This record gives sequence, structure tokens and C-alpha cells, in this order.
Amino acid sequence: MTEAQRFLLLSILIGVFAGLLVVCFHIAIDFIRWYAVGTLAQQTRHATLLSPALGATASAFLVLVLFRQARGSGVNQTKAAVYISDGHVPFSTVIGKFLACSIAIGSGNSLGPEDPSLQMGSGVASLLGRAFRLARSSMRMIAPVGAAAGIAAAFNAPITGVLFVMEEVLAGWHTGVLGSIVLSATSAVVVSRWFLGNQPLFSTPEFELRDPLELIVHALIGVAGGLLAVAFMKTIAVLRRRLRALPRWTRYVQPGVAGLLVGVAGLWLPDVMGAGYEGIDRALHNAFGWKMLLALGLVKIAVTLLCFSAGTPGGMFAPTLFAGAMIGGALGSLAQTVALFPTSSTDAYVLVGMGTFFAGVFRAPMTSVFMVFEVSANYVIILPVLIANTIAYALARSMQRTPFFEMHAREEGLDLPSVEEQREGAGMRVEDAMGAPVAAFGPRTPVNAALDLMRQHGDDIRLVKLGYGEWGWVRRSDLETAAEENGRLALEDALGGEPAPSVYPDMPLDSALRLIGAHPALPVSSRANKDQLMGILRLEDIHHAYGIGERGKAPPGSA
Amino acid sequence: MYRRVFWDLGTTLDGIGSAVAGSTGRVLALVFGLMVLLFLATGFLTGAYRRERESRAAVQFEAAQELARDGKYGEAIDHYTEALVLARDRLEYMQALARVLVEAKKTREAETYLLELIRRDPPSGAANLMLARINADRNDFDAAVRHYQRAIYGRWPDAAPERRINVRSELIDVLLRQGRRSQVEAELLRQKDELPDDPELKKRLGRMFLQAHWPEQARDVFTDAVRLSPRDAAALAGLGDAEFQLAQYQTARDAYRRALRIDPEDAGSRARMETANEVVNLNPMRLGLTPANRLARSRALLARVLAEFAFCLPAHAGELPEETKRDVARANEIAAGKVRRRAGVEGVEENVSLAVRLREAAIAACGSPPAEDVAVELVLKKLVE
Repeated sequence: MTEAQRFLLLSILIGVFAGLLVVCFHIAIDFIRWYAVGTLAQQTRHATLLSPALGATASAFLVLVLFRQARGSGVNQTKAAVYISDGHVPFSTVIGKFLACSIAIGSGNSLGPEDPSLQMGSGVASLLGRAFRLARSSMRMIAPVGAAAGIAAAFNAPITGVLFVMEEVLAGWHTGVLGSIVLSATSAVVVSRWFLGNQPLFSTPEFELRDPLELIVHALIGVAGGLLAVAFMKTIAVLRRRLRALPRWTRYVQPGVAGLLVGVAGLWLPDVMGAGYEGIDRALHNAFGWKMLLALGLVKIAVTLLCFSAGTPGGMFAPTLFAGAMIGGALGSLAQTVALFPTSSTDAYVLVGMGTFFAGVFRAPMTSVFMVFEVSANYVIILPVLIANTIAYALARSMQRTPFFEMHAREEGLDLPSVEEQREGAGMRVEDAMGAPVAAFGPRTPVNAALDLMRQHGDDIRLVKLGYGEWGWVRRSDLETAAEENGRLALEDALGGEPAPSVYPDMPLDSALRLIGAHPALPVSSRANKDQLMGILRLEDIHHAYGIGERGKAPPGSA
Repeated sequence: MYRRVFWDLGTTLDGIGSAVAGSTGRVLALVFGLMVLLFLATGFLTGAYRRERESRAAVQFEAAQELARDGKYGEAIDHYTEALVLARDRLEYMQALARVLVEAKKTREAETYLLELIRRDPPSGAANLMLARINADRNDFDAAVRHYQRAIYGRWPDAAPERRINVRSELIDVLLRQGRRSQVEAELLRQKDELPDDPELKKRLGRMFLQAHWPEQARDVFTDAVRLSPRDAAALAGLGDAEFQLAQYQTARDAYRRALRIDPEDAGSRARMETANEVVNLNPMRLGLTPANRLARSRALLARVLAEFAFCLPAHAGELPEETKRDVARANEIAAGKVRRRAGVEGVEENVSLAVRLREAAIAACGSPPAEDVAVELVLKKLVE
């Protein structure tokens, strides 16, 4: 069996194991919730108040004493497996995440099960990869395969799982691993549906855009989601810094205090407790008015901030979906009363709002769009969701430089590459380095004439046009040697070596560097007309662009 | 020590992974064995989980039913919602929740559940009916009619024929209120075709035909109802009403009489019977009358027209057109017996046409009389026809 075949087979196995684990995790959370807090209609005041505090304390003890490696974000741990530890994720983190997060979320703390599911998936993948003795390069890619399976099973949405890992963990379409990620995500969802049923995460209403002007409301929802995401991240940064500055022993107490505050909030608004999927479902059925929706959204943001900053183990995906859904619903509901055009019912705005806060916090715009699309199974929703989520993403990006996971990784002491930069390909291009085009010689130009011209202009190198889109080059020193022998010789006869390969202005500069080889200069042609010279690229230009040999001088484009 | 236990579990698994690594066949066998075990364990766990969910859902549902019966809709909604969260595939929970939401006037919320219910169970009669009512209350009659139609042809778990008839009756009521005549007629005819031999249903349908001003059909249906239940006063009264609308006053009077013999307290039927009786006794063209009798009735008819407009004609005599003045004078003479004529068709016809002309001119000049003589109006209408 080849390595590639083993990798593909392993992807299916990873999906199955991750699916089974996520099913058990889901069941564990529900059982703990039923016995700790009770169902929404049965909750007693004492259980509501105390259960999150006790659960948070217990889970903090687990991650601070027993499973220290299970602390932190699952996304960052998976990225660390890719970029730092050659795909190694200790299995104890899987056990730790399972126990600590099921207790924390089940007891009512405002956190979600998706990030732990993602990390459990990557842990299972890593274990299987080691068992199958995969090569180092394959091992590095095994954790994202498991992560996709974990998150797909948690959301019961395979596309979301695949997109999230591509967008947030790998930061691009790595074709070599894409097939494996799809296979693992699909098999995880199949297993999850086998045991838990085919029901989607939410039962969503039929969506219809009643008037094109409604898109204004959707855009406003995007603005609100983006601004709240920025406020959320900035507050997290401050709160976590302050809480970390407290004496070390308080880390055992902080989650309990946060849990107690969640309990206090839960006495008034029980829907803010736990992951919050039931609350979203109720909002999708128009159970709340705009004031209640607004209160739920803001209180959820507050209690999630507390839980996360205090270090209670758990994920943030579900709470961000909850907050976005409620804020979207509140604005939509308000728009119904003031808008001068026909508006949809509140549930439609809840659905559109769901992804906005997520897009703003996690900076994963494609995942946020497809997640809403996948959970709603409605094509019409794409346009409003695209508008709202893109606005939220762009706004958050412009107002908060460091993305959430990077901020969190720095706190954890991990030096991981910026996925946003990788994803958006912020590297240099040929056009950033090339010099202005200089008139090229014709192939029949005599050596003497060419030499005179070069002396006159002080040029060391000039291009020679050999045919359509074909360029050569001449050095002045070479011409001087050739002129001593026969100055009347045509350039094409005097030239030796291969023609220079053409590059284009939009090509990455490092690709040009690979091509330049022994050539002193490369012609930069137009893609539309290869005969048209756009510039000339010398090795010195490339060095200059990268700031090599000119210390103290900033490279172009860095301003 | 505990840390050691958990830590060891993780490292043991890591160790097993490394120990068996190398031989793909051995690893695969172990992995598949582990997978089977995990499948079994998860299956067992899921079974327990499902049972727990369902029993919790059932408890919530029962509590909700009781609360709804006591009219505590707010609390009932919470329990129904919880039952539904625990058992999302139980459509009867969703239907019950929607029903109590409608009762609690939370129609927007109810609507989302009903739409979902219909998406998952399109032929649900009850869900379509509830949606139809919500839309009708919201004056969205096209949507209401659509859902009523789906409810009529939808699936009902029990007493389906009766429910369908009731739903169609409700639809006809809505259409009648909206004045959608062609749709009303179509629905009434369908209802008539599908109606079983039940006098109560026949009476209800007959009333609808009368409301739709379709007395011929109403007479058929009430006749059927009377055949099925000969001593049903309401059926006989309905038959009387149908005959009355058809201007068959004599048969109407007979039907009312029979109805009143069974239910003498029916004031409406009594009043209409008296009117029918008056019309019969006032009609100069009724078959079997002697010429003298006809002339006498036509003269009485003329006198009643004058009496009906006594409130206006003498006072406004000066303002009336010349022709009307002449007619009033002539009518007064005839009514007072000053004009002696031989009993014959010409005299009767002159009196009747004078009464018709005079009544029309009086209404044009004075407006409708304060106390309209219904019998006179009906007789003249029948004679003109």
C-alpha cells in the first residue's frame, strides 16, 4: 500500500473514530446537563445558580492538574501540530478535552462543543497516524484531517468542517490533503447521523427576500456583528491580561467565579447557559421580541467573555453563533416596526445574523457563509448572508489587526504563522521589484552599434528581441569582447546561451527568483501581448525589493 | 495518583499505537477491532440516551397537556418547547405546541412551527387548518384559501370525513365573508356532492346555500334533511326559508307551519310565516280566485301602497310630477271605491300597474318608507316578474 493510499484509508478511519467520539461527547454533555441543571422548563434556582460554578471549578481542576496539555484552543493546538510538532497531538489531550469540556458545557457554562470536538478529532488522527507510521510530511497533515472530522461531526455539517480547516488551520487549498479532509469530514458526519439522526443543527424557517431594500437591514446586521466582534476581542484581550496578572492560585478559582456569574445571568435568562443551540432554535421560531433578543445577545457575549477569559475549557463557536443570531434578530425585529418597505419575519434575520459575529471574531468569512447555508439548506439566503458576513469580516479586520486565534496563540506562547496573511497571499510580486523597460535591440543589430548605444546610456545589460515573445540579453562586457573580434557581426550571431524566460508583472517575486538562475536579467512581458515589454527584472532589483544588501533601507511596499 | 491514571490511559494508547506500528495489516486489524468495540459501546450509549430523551420528552409533554387544559398557556408553551427540543422528530409535539401558541395569541411563533410541520408532513390536515385560520385572521385570504384546501384534502388521523366537511364549511364561511361568489359556489357544490346522509350537516349546508343566495340548491338540501329527519323543526324552517327566497310563498308558509307545530317558540319562522301568509292573501293573481276576489285584492294592494306612503305623499303633493299627481288621485279614488268597475282582468291589471308605478314614484320622491310593507313589496316584485 502506498503512502497516499494509506493516507486516504486513514482519513476514512479518522472520520469514523472522530464521529464516534463526538457522538459520545454530545451525549455526555446532555446527560451532565440533565442531571446538573435540568431541562429548561424544569430548572431549579439552586441548580441554575450553582451548577455552572461547580462545573467550571471541576473542569478547571482537570485541565490545570490532570490534563495540562488539554488547555487552550483546539484550533491553535491543531496548527501547532502542523507547524511545530510534526503532527503529534498527545492522546491525553483528547481524554482531557472530553472530560473537562463535557463537564464545563454540560453544567451550563457559556461555551460550545465545536472547538473541543475539533481538537479531539486531531488527537485521534494523530494517534492513528503514529500507529500507521506515516511519513513525517504526511504526519504533519494528519491533524487537520482529524480536525475537519471533529468539527464536521459537531456541526453535523461536512462542508463547514472542510472549509473551516482549509480557511483557518491550513490557510489555503492544499490540494494534496483536500481529498482526505473531505473524506474524513464526510465519514464523521455519516457516523454522527447514524447515531444521532439526520436532523440538522437547527430547524430553520423558509427564507425569502421580500424586498431588495431588505438588504440594507442585512448590511446593518453585518455592521453590528462586526463592531460587536471588535469590542468582544478587545475586551477579551484586556480581561485575559488582567486575569493572568492575578496570583497563580486564582486560576483555580476564576472559572468558578465566572460560572457563578453565568448562573446569576441564567436565573434571568436561562437561554444564555450552555452552548445555546436551543435558544437559537427558539429565536428561529420567533419566540422572542426585539428587546429580549437584544438582551440575550448582549448577555451571552458578556458571559462568554467571562467564561473564556477565566480559562473555563470549551469552545467559542456556538456562543458566537448565538450572539450573532440574537443581535440579527433584534435588529430585524426593530426594522419591521420602522422600515418603509416590506420586511421578512424575525426568524429570517436571526438566520442571517447567525454568521456575522462568527465571521467578525474568527475571520473565517467563507466558513461563516457556508455554515449558515448548510444549516438552513436554503439557497436564497446566500446573498443576504454574503453581504452581512462580508461586512462584519471587513469591519472587524480593519478595526482589530490581530485575529482571535493569533491573539490566543501568542498568549499560549505559540509562534504560529498568520493564516490571514498566508490565505490572502500578501507576498511580493514581480511588479513590486521590476525596473522600467529599456528599448531592446533587434536581432540583426551590429555589435558595434549596440555597444555604442550602451556606452552612450551607461547600460550594463540590454535585452535583445529574438522572436515573438522570445528575448535574449547582452552584457556590455561581452559585447566589448565580441567587438574586438568582429564588430560588424549581428547580435543574434554574437549571442550565446539560452533565451531568457519571460515573467509577468503579477507573478510572485520568489517564482521569478527561482527562474532567474544564471540570467543577469529577465524580461517582464504583458500576458496579453508577449512582445510588449512591461519592465526588466535584474537580480539586484529582487535583492533591493527584499532589502538584501541595503540594511537600514525599508523594502518597497512595506510602508 | 489520579493524574497518573488518566495520564497513563493516554500514554498507554499512545504506546499501543507505537507498539503495533509498522505492520499495516496488524494495525488495521487492531483498528478495526477497536472500531467495532467503539461502535457497540456508542450504540449502547446512544440507545440509553434516546430512551432518556424520549422519557423526559414524554414527561414534559404530559405536563404541558395538563397545563394547556387548565388554560396556563405560558407554562404549557415552555413544557411543549422542552418536549420538542428533546424529541424533535415527534410531529405531534410540534402540533400541540403550535395549537397552544395559537391559543396564547402568539401567532408568529405558531406559524413558524406550522410551516415546519407542513414542510416535514405536507398533508397534515390539522397544521394546514391552523395556518389557514392564522392567515384568515391576518386578512391574507389567498394563503388562507390555499391552506383550507390543503386541509380539506389533507390527512386527518381520526373522523376524517366530518373534519373535511367542517373545514370546507369554515372555508365557505370565509369566502362568503369575502364575497368571493364563484369560489363559494364551487365549494358549496363540492360539499353537496360529498355530504353524507346527516341531517345536521345538510342543514348547515342548506344555510350556506341560503347565505350564498342560491335557494334552489338550499331547497334540495333542506328537502333531503327533512326526508332524513321529518320532525326536525330547523330543517323545516330552512326549507321554508328556501321556498321564501324562491318566492314560493305558499309552500314556504306550509313548511313554516309544520316547523312551528314542532317548535312553537321559533319566533323567526313565525314572523316569516306571517309574511308569507300575507303575501299569499294579498296576491291578486293567485290561481283559483274569482274575478271579484282578484279585483278586491288589487284594490287592497293599491290602498296599502297609499298607506305605506301616507307619511309623505299628502305633504309633498305639490312637489310631485304631474303624472304622479294624477296617479295618486286615481289611486285614492279606486281605494275609496269611488271608481266602479266590472270585475275583470283589465281592472286588476290597471290597479296592479298603478300600484307599481305609484310605489316607484313615491320611493323616488320620498325615499324608502319608515315602516316598509314587506308583503306589498314582495307581491309587487312577484307580479312584476
